[in-house]
Amino acid sequence: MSTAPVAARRIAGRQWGSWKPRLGDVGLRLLGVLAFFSVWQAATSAGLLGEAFGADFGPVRGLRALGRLTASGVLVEQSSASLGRLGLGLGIAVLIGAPLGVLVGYSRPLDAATSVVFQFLRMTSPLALVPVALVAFGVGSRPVVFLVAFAAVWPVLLSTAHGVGRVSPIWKRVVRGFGGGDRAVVRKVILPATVPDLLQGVRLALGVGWVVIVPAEMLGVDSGLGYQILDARDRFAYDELVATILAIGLLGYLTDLALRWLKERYSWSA
Amino acid sequence: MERVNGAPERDGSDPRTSGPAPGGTGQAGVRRAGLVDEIIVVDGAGRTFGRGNTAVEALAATTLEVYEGEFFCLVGPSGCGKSTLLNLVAGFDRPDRGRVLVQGRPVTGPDPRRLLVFQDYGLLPWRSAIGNVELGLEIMGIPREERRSRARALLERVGLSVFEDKKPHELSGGMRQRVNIARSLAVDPDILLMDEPFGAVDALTRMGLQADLLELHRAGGKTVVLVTHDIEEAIYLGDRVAVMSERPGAVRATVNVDLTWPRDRTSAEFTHLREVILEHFRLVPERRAPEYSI
Repeated sequence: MSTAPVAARRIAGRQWGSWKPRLGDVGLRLLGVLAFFSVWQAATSAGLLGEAFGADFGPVRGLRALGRLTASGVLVEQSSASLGRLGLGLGIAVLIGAPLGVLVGYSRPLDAATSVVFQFLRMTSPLALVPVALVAFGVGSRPVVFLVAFAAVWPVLLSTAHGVGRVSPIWKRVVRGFGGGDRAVVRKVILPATVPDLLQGVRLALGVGWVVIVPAEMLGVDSGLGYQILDARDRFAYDELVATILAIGLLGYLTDLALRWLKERYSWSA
Repeated sequence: MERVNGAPERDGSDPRTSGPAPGGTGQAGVRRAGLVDEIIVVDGAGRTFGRGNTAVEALAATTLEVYEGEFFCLVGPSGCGKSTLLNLVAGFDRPDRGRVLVQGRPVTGPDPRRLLVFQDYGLLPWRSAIGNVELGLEIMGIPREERRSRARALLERVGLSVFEDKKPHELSGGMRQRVNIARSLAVDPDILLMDEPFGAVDALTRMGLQADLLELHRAGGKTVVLVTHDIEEAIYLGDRVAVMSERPGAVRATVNVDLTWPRDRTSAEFTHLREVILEHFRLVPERRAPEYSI
């Protein structure tokens, strides 16, 4: 494998974008991270970003605050609150989006009838729906979960529909030829064939979910990473604000990595 | 790697191995005398797709019988309704007119006892070779342990034991068709319906697969109906060869292949049969009058 040409390795799916970097890339990745932090630190400590952004906004103090927040248990508490809402929102999005995606992927008329509406809703920022969410679900976790689910359902739905389109009619005929009914076709063909696309949809949904959950948690909840950002600002604890931003980025990266691994595990090539 | 290694020994009592048969007294002849049962009866069955001006008659009213245990080949040009006919027998489609009977009963839908072997394999790309062979057994509710061991035995029979964990895209075309055949044999069908099974592999692989299919047929005693546009393949494999006409397709003639095994593609008898079939397609140049020949 190590002597195979780059193109061949790319086909094998272990190249760019893989959750598992090649050994040579690990060093480069670390170097990139290090360079990023250095520029950031230099900019803040030299006051290049203006007087308002002092050393408290730099990564060194941020990381130090991150350690402090982790040790005190605050970070774990707030992260679990956010992760719980995010997970619930994504779960609802999958429960609604995946079956709808299968239907839309199967039925051309349904696809035609829904495509404009779905694209329209997809482009509507969930944050524009904040007032609606608050009226509908009151104050607390529920509107936050709703906003995440609303943002996440579209990529799941559209990606699943695309996956259904990859199902070859011959596979279904093979299953029916062996005497299998609709249930067997779904279990032996449609589900395993579409799982990689579904997971790709969940990956995209996770990205928008992180984008949505932070501002959503700035409204009427008293826990979560979004709340913690506002709280740090109110207390002028800018190093904690940076620490929270770092935590959000890190958690986002790790959850995405997990989904990439999952997707690769179930992906197939014809 | 392309040969079957674990194939059972030939049964010496097989009438097809008992020396050259004089015309009409070979196995096919015995069948015509009514001693062997018809397993498939196509009785005036036809199929037209579409309606009105755009209607296309894919298969004109066709009548033929296939006998139990025989290797029956259908040859004809592309688009002559061979696949349509096979789909009717497999139960994926219904005739507009006439009847299709299998084992005396009308065909109402697909049934694992008569399996269609697809040309482009129809392997599930996310499953390993052995996982694909197990598919039919899973659908039939065979317990896991038994599934595994039956699938292993069949992969061994088609010479792919080493590749049991490989995914279809890691296998060559010939290997994929072997997996496909093993998958079909796993559910122990009475009838194998093969639609151009070797159409997508290179010529040498094709000959290897043909020889292996013959071995499997001779060892298993299953009825095989094979559709092909390759006349040589039909003569090499078939007990009988039905010649189909062009659109709308219909069986024009049925030729008995009273040749011994192993068949020699270069023998005079083989060549003669080839000409007989080609004549049905009017593809043999007119012979010169005898006085001009040396």
